[in-house]
Amino acid sequence: MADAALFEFLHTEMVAELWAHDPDPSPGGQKMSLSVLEGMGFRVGQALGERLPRETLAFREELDVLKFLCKDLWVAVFQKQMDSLRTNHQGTYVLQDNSFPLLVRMASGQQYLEEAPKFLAFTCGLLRGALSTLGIKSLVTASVAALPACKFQVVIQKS
Amino acid sequence: MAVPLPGDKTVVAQNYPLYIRSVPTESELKFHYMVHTSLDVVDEKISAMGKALVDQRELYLGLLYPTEDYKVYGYVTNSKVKFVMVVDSSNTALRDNEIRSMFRKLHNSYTDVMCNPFYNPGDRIQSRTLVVLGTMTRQKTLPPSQGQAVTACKWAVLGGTWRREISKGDSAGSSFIFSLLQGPTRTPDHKGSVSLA
Repeated sequence: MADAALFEFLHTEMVAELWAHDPDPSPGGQKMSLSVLEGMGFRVGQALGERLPRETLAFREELDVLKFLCKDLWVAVFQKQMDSLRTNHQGTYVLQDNSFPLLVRMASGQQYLEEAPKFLAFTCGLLRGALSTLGIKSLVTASVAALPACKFQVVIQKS
Repeated sequence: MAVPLPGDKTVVAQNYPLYIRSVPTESELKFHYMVHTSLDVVDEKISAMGKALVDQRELYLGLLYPTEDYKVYGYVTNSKVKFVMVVDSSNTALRDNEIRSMFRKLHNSYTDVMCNPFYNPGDRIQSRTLVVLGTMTRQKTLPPSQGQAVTACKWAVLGGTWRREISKGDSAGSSFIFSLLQGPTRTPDHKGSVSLA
């Protein structure tokens, strides 16, 4: 679908641009670019977290919010639902996507495994931003075992 | 006015107002005070909603409580932002679904403010469009015996600036105050860091 392609291209360019201007190839410099990407995703997630649940009824508990993320948010951004959601009921949720749209064009398997995390930073921020608008402070990390499947781990911070 | 409420004993420390507007603009302090006190009722309704077995999960909270002069209505969004509207009791023409539609428009414009890239979530709202939408077209007719003409007060948006037209006379009878109150945990955190596994 044309709309999905627009976002994918934009995202690819964003990552490429941030990496091209990165003068410091050491891990310190890389962290900066990743934080910038994550920050971008955070702000977008905040706005989406305000706009998307507008017509839905009030969320009653955390699990409802996570389910909303897996279904409505993922469908709105990536045109598909999250494949699985697991929790340990103690504030940690693992969201698994077996064919993540931003990775599916790259490879299928172990190729480009080191490059994959760059393309997940924005989405981590997106999840964190949406959660923060809905009142949940969290820490989101992503991991890739084999492209294009990836897992997002959400840890709720209890303050 | 980023002050936590004095009566607030819960962990929620950030119920500060994002936007307050009253029409007409006298006695603003009184309205501020009423909005603050009505927050307790809002919180009570929210917690009752969470524990009730009845599947009442609406966003519109309805009439919070009537005082002798004013009625207070509430609305809460999924992001825990509370809207409070104080209306003159003398204006009996306002029906429930009108209030609902006003809240819906407010919610829509608040969502637009959130999506504005120049707006940092958690700041006071400076958007002019929200100001305009917050003052609705209202018409109030009084019986001719009271000697007051039809009053219409309209605010129009014209290319980013707004001007006000008052057709005939001006009546201070009907007043609104819209107030958006911030929910908990809204620190503008733009410095998330990502760790790769």
